[in-house]
Amino acid sequence: MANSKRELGAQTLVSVNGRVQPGESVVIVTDQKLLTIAELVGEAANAVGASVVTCIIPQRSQDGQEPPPPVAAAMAEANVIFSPVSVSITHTRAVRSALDRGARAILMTAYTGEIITSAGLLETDFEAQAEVCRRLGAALNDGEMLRLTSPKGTDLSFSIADRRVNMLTNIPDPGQLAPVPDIEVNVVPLEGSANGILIADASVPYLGIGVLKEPIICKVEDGFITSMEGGEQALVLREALEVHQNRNCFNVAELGIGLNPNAKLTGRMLDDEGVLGTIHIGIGTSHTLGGSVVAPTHYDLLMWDPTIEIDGTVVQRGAEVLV
Amino acid sequence: MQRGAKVLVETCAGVRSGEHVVIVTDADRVNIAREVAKAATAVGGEASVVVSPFRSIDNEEPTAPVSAAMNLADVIYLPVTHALSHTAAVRSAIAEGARVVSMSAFTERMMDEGGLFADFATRRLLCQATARRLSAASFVRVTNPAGTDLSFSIEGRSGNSHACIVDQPGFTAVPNIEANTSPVEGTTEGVLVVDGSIPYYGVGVIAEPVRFAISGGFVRSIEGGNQAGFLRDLLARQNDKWVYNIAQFAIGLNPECREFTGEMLNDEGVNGTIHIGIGTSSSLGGVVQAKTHFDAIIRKPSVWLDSEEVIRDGEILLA
Repeated sequence: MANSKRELGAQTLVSVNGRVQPGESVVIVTDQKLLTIAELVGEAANAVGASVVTCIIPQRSQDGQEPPPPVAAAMAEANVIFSPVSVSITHTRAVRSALDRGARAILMTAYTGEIITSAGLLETDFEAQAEVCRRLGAALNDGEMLRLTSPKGTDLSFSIADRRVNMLTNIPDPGQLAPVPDIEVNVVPLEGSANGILIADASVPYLGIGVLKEPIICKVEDGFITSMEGGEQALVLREALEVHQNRNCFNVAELGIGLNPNAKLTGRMLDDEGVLGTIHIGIGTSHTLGGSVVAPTHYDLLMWDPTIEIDGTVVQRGAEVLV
Repeated sequence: MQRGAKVLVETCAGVRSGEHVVIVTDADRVNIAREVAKAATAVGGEASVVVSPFRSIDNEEPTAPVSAAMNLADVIYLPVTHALSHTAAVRSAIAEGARVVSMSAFTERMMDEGGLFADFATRRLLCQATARRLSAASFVRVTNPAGTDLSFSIEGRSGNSHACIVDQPGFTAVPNIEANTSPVEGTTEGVLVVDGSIPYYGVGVIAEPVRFAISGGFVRSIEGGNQAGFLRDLLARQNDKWVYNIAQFAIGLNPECREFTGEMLNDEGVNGTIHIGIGTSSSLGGVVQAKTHFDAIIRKPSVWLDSEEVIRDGEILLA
């Protein structure tokens, strides 16, 4: 019998991304809303001979809230963790300590039937893109100054000297996590070093903003966004930041480079941030990525057709990775 | 199922606000587990449903993530297909302070009607009194109209009360209210004619009485119809003489478990019946570890503790 696309998506997550082996201990953390997705993943993991435990937790009330301690204890015993939950548990001690004990984590926050059947998941050669991810990551790792430009007028420069580069290959090794199908390389600009103009014209997959109708134009001075202009969507974002009355919400926290050639811009985080030919600038908290700034928020602003120069050498132009 | 879940949460375990509740289940019983989770959430508990891989036999240990979760729970419910009751995982969770409610082979029917809706607090007093009588007694005789006439010693053995309420670290199975003890090994003599239920291995409610001839504490023969033949063959295949050990004597005390249905935790609690457990006794206060353990329930028993009649034709005379 032919597999449905949803089953194929789940099989990809299990066999390609999770590389689940027979006899491995798989823990799926889910909640009521995502239970159907969890069941698909569970069936796929069962089919390869894994021992599958599914934990249905009460829906968390905010991103980053710890799962219940019994579930954290279950996660610590897993070889592979899948997390189809409505509210993110990505940045929790529970995930951290499971990774420290050698788990591989496939993060599936707010997964939908559309994501699990998307081209970004079903048609991507994850092995090949992992290689691209590592090559670009190495170039960033060796670099000191980065300049970002775009046809719309972005021109932003910052230091990445001695910063940790995070390579989200989507095929995690023990101790690593992967927000599949968001293949990306990211790095935290040196605090206070970013200057220039940032023009986001792709999406802001937060706050219900989604795909951008009008660009959001930000002036960046000494590491902080000092002005934000544009249409209605720019206003929604600016107000969501200003309400915290915390300058760190405007900190330039991350450069993320999407590397999934099949991902499409939809307004959903896991789809958008991996789109090849886009980059995103994260603003707000950076400590979860290796920076030192703590803020109550972290939002990403995506733009199309970046040109990325490292120490004067172009490493990417649009969708073309040149290293 | 909502009413049953409320009883399980509020009466059986008394879940309190802020307690960590873990409901271990498998794919066949997730609906029951989710109802219990809802009821636990309603009283302020933080409830997680842990769906375990199917286990192939009763009392096989759960996998490591499941036992790790159990160890951090304040309250554990076990609506699973195969019992987890007698596992190291449960013993360890209890040692860590958990209150455990066993719901092996629970059905949706049992969430809606029957045993769960008994007055547990009141029956608990009777059950505890019965257990004390068992502790004090030395000798038991059981008969029934189908032809049972069985005697054994319980000297030095303590009686246990299981009344579906677990208010301190420990274990209870629901909705089976029973007082039980373990006959002294080697002392049981006579005939047990089972006309109620054998809620194990798919045998279920008895169609044609199963006659066990017993001497020296062991079943020596099993006669009857198809169910007897099935059981005889199954036990013979175990190649373990201890599977014939007379392990347990228990009195069912749940007035809302009215009829035999083949559901283990219903049938064993049927008011005024007794059951004889055969096989392992080590988890019941005895010393035998066998490859299996099953219970055989008889209708309308009369029971004497020493010389005092305490049940007559299924009517409980204890107060």
